[in-house]
Amino acid sequence: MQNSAIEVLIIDDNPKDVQRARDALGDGASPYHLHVMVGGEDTLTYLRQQPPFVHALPPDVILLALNPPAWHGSQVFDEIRQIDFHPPIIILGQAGNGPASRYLHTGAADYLFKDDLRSLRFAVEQVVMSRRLLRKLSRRQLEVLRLIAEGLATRDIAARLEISGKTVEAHRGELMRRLGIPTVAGLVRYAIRIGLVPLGPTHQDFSAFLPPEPTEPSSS
Amino acid sequence: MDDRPRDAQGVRDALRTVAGVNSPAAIIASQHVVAYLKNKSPFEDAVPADLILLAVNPPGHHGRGTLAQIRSVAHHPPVIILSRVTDGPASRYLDTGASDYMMKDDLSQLAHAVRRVMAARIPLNAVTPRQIEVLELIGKGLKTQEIAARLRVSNKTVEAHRASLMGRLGIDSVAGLVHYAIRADLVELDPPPAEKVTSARPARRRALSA
Repeated sequence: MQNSAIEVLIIDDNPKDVQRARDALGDGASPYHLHVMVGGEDTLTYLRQQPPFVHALPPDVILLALNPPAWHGSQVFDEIRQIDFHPPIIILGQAGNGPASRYLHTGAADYLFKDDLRSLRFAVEQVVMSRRLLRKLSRRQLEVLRLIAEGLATRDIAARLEISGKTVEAHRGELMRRLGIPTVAGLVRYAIRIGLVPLGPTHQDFSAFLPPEPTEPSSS
Repeated sequence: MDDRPRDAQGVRDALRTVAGVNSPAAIIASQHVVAYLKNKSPFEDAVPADLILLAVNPPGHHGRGTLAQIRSVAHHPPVIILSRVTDGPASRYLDTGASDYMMKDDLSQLAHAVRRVMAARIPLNAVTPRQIEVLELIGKGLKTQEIAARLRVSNKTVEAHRASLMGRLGIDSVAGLVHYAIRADLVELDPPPAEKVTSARPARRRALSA
C-alpha cells in the first residue's frame, strides 16, 4: 500500500486511547493519516457530508470506539449505518461491550479489543484493500450489488432503479466479472463480509424465535 | 470447554437464566473435543451437544486450532468463543466458523448470545439432511453444477432441493439462503477478497463508494 495515503477517522473521546491507536498504526512515515473526532453531532454531519462539510472527503475507514459508561458508541454506529455507502467501520471494543456479533453481523467490517491493538494495522489494511475492489464498479453497479445482496429479485431491483430487467442482468454480469466472483451467493458473501449489507434479513418463522435485542450492554 | 473450573462455574451461572438450557452437558478439555463430537472412546455415551462454548485461555491458548478441529466434524454444533485474551480481530474467529465472540469477564450477555445462536438453528428442523448439505454448498457460493458434481446428482435435483429449501424455510431468494446459512453457522465467511495490485492511489472521484 505504499504511495497511497489511507485516511483513517478515529471516533473516540479518550485521548489516551487515541494515542494508542496512533502508535499502533505507526509513525508519521506510515501511509495512515489519522483524523480524530469525538463522536458528537458534527461527526455525523461530516460523515453525512452536510454543511459545512459538503465537500469533505469521507475517510477510507472509521475506527469507532465503544467506551463505557456514558459514551454512546453503539448509537454512533447505528447512525453511521444509516448513511448511504458509508465508509467501512472497525469497532474498537472492550470487555463490557457484549458479543462481537452485535456489530459484525450488523455491518461492521471488523472488531478489535482496545487493550490489544497489535493487529490494528493488519485489520485496517485488510478492510481498506477489500473495499478497493469496489472501485472497479460504477455507482450503478454498486447499487445493484447491494440490492442483490439484500435479496431482491431481478424484477424488484429493476423497479427500484427504474431500469429494465435486462439492464439489471447486464450490470450483474459485469460486476461479477469485475469482482471475479462468479455466483450470486458469492456476491452476497462478499457484500456481507465487507459490511456493505448487514447479515439478515431473517424470515418470519425464525425471527419469532429470536429473543428481543437487549437495549444495550449494561456497562456501555 | 474450559480448563479453569472457576470460569466454568461463571458460565454455568450465566446460563442458568436461559429457559430450556440444561447446565452444560459436559466440560471437556480442548484436545478431547473431536472424540466427544464423534462419540469415540471414552465418550461413547456422550450426549450430543447443541452448542459449544469454547474458552480461549492463556497461556498457550489453542482457540483457533480447536475451532478448526470442531469445524472438521460434519454437522458440528455452533460455537461461541469465550475469550480471556484479546487474540487479534474478532473476525478471525467469526470468519473461521464461530457464531459469536465474547470476553469472558463480561458474561452478562451470554444468555442472549446463546438464545440467538440456538434460535437460528430451529428452522433447520423443517428440512432434510440432504437439503442442509445443499444449503451449505449454496452458502459457500458454489454454482449449481458444482453442487451437483459434489453431491453426484443432476442439476435438476439441486434446483429441486433449492426450491424446496426456500419453501420450507420461507426464504424467497438465493441471497436470503446465503444470509440464513451464515446466520445458522452452516458456513463461515471468508476473509474478503482484496485487490492484489498495490498502485498509487487514484483520484478520489468515487471516494464515497470506496
